[in-house]
Amino acid sequence: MSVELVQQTGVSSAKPRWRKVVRQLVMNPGAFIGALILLVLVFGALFAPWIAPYDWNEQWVGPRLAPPSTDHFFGTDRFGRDVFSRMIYGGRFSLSVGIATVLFSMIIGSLFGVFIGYTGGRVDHFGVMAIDVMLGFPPIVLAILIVAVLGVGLPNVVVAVGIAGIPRFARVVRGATLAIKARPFVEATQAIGAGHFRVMVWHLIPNVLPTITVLATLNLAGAIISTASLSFLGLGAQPPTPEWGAMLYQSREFYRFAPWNMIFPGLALFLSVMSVNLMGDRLSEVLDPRVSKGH
Amino acid sequence: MLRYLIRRVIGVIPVLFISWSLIFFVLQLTPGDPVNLMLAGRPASEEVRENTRRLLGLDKPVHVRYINFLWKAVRGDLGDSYRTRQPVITEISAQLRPTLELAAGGLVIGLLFGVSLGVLSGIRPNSWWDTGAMVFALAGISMPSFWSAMLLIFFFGLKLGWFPIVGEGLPALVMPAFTTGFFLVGNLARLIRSSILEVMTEDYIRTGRAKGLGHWKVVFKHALRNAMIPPVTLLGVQFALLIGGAVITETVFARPGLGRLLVTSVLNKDFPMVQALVVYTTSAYIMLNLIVDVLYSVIDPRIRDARSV
Amino acid sequence: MNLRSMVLVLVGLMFVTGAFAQDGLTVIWGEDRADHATLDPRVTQSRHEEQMILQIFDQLIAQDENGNIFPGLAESWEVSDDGLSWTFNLRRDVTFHDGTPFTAEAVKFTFDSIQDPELGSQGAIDILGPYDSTVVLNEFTARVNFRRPYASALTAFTETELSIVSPTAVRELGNDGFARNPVGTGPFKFVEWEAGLRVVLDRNEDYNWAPEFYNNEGPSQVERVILRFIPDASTRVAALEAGEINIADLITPLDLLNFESSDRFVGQAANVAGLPFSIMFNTTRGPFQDIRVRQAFMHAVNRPVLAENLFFGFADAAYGPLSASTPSYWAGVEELYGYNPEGAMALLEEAGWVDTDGDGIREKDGEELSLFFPVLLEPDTAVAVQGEVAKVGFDLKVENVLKARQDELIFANDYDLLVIRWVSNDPGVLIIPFHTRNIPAPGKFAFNWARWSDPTLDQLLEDAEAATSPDERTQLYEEIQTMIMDAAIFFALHNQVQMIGHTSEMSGFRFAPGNWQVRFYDVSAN
Repeated sequence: MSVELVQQTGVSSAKPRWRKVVRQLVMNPGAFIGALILLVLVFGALFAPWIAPYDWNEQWVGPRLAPPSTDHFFGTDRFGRDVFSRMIYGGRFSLSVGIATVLFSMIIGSLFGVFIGYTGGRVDHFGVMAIDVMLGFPPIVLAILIVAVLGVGLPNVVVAVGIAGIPRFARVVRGATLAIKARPFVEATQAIGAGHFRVMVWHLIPNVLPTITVLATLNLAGAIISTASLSFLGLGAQPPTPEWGAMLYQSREFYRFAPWNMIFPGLALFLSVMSVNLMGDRLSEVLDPRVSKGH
Repeated sequence: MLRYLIRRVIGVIPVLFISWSLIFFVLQLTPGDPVNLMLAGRPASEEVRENTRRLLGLDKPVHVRYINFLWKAVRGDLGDSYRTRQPVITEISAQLRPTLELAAGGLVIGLLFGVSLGVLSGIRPNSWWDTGAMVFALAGISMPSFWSAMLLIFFFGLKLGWFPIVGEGLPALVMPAFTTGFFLVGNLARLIRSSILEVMTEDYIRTGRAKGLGHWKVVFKHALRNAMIPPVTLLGVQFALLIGGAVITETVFARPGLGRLLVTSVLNKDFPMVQALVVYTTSAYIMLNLIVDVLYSVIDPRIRDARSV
Repeated sequence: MNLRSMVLVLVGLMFVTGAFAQDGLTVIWGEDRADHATLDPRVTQSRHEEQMILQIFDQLIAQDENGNIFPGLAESWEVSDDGLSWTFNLRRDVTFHDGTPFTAEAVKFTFDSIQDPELGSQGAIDILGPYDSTVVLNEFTARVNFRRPYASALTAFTETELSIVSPTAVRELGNDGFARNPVGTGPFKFVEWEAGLRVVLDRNEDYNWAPEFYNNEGPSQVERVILRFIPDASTRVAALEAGEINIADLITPLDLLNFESSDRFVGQAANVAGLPFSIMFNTTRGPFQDIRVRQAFMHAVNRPVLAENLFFGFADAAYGPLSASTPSYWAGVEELYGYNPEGAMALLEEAGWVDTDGDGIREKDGEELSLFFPVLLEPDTAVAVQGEVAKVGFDLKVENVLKARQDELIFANDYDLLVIRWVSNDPGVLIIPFHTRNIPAPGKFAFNWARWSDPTLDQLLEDAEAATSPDERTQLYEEIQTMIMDAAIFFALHNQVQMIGHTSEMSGFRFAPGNWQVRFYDVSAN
């Protein structure tokens, strides 16, 4: 702790802020491990065609439900598919779906927050109420409700979980907007009558960026779990998609005989969520102490 | 105090009103003819279909149905399930108890382990205890509950046979409660740890120490009591997580309950049931948060003042 | 007999009765599907609902698991020479669970009410065939008249769907009320049903009219039957092993293998009669309008290997619209549409489907060979088929659905293929998925999911239903099976197999005709 404190104060403000952040991230053992695991998983997903020893969707590349071996590192499933190859490709779905979900919440939530905060008055009043209403839904219940309307499938799950995540971003961004709006220079530009909104947004972005980054990282962990959960409930990815939640869903009938079908995709899911959390923890310490307390 | 209470209760009304309206209109958007769903694929004459349509009130325009829905919802009548043709409240009340048991079990596990781990690492920061407890807590918040459920079933249910996987009674509640509570353990442990660390730097702790009070006495008499307040007030938020946990846990353990009812109703397109479940959980959630807020303001009047600004 | 021995006998009797009262068995059935909607035999078409309905009701004619016919609620019956009317002489000692005496009036009420559109019968209405009316000749004699000869009548009267219901109860509770509080004459009476949780039945203490093929007579040794919903097979088996339930349906083949070497559990597998587990091609939209595409699809799947892979040898491949254990099965189907991927590819090329962009999926006029496959049953079978047909260039879009969604898609004609199966011991079942009148329409639920309309086939199906001699019947059904195969509208995959596991502490679990549901009346402790 004390070492970090020295660092925080010791680094001169002359250096660019983001480089400092990255350095502080990497110097922290937890965040370092997190970043490393995440890099491995992302690398696996990106270069899956070169890493995966088999086609993820090819059936009978091995015997059914074979235990892990040198031929099949993580064993095979009941269709003789290679679990390792499926898991590697699964990262493409599970991770990108998580990221897409957070981007969705972040963009819509931020726009909404800026809009109501900036407009103020009645719009702000009702906007806040809308945020309160949405926060009144337990997120997974709201996501399931939206899937009920849109139908099952991975894209719909992104929208559903994304919508459920909007209010948190909207609230934070609205708060920041109000604070900026109250500053004298905004009023000054208003007096000149030019580029009022642009100036505000210009000042807004650097101000909320740290908070948003922390919030997005923390939300990413939740989003990966939520989207996988919906797939596990049969509402998300459909066969033969090797999304990790869907792989666990598929393993249910046989996992007592072939636990490797359940252990490895679950482990991948767990590790990716954990590494995002590790980085989120450190980021919130470095960037925005307020957020880490509020959650 | 009374004024604050009244204002808060009145403030909840529009939120409930809007959220109920939202649920109603969202479900209106859903494709599919409710008459078909109600008849569940039974061959029916045009006459029967018209009867059903009337029965469901679908012959009336949307705004009339909306007002009917609100009026009935206020009186606790949320219609009949398409699937069972019984009032939704019948099935919901039948499945309420198992979910409450699960939530209570999860809460007990969460508090028991979460508080002890949090205190352990809070009073001995940067020790091995602390590291161990925080790794465990991190696992708690990072583990998807369906995976931890499957691991528990596999190792403690199937391989070791320590706990029953399905059934009624306390033994069968152990693994589901751990599944639901695991996330809470992680969350609470982390909150309590940081809360303790913060309290330990406060003046009165230093004063206590300066006065020559023993380390443990200071910790238990002052630090813990004050450090508990912020995490406990977050229990309202945790309720939402417990509900989310129930959806998954009930599915994996084949437990009856509201979470599983919600998922099967969505998949079965039983919209009156979905509507009722969402209305109830949302309302319960909002009310719970209100109660927590009010209680907290009783404990700590500063909150009340801050909010009224 | 002196006083001493009398006392001894009395004490002995008390012991015996006390023991009986105490170890009245409880059978707990672990059920895979939790979406029961009705327990009214006249309405249901779900084998899962019938599992309980079966225990609560009796039929006019009884049938054992081997297809032998026995008197049921009717002691005897005569068929008129023209085959149009069936006269039943009913048992005089039967009462419904609500105390209503069982009479000819109840038979008439049951069959007449099935015809009533307000009831919304899904299964019974088809099974009753060309029903015309029931005439009450006297209190215990009923005559059922058909509009035309009905060859399947004998089996029809044994089906669970044509169970006799208590007219008093239906009148009192209404149709919807009765569906949740069924009242019959069977060995068990309905106690409670908590939706999604459990169904509880208690022994009918007055039961004394069991068909003679049972080992037991009088009330069952089972005092209470509980159905518990446990959707996951692995959880179901774990519950069985933990003693939480006594019998589980639809266990996995690996569990069945496991139980073979266990002395605590018994596994039973049975091939189910009726329609095998099959795919129906929607012939009214998309690529499947072209018969060559349908043929190619069938040639692309290696069915014996598929069945072996999925069921580890417990289920056989199926080839035609009837499974091999169904009467009038025509073995000629086994020669048709064998595994031939090259042939499949040639057929697709001929039909204009070519993979131009090298992504493994064929295209024609800019459209990909993508087919929407909503799957209600056996998702793993769908994945296996998906993998097989992908090799010749099909892109099968599988979506796991529940019944409500499937119903909607059927109404909207929004699917390319669907899976179907049907438990029946009678070839007459073929009229259900193949007659033109059973093509679904919005609001009209029916099972001709191929949406295939062929007047010649319709005529044959009707003729076969009315056939009077067994030879003529077999002949007609052979023709029907040939026509269906030639049209390439129905793709049988494997025989349905019911795999149950139960504790070895009990025996006497007997399959119902068709080998799906299990009858509990005969169960006793070992």
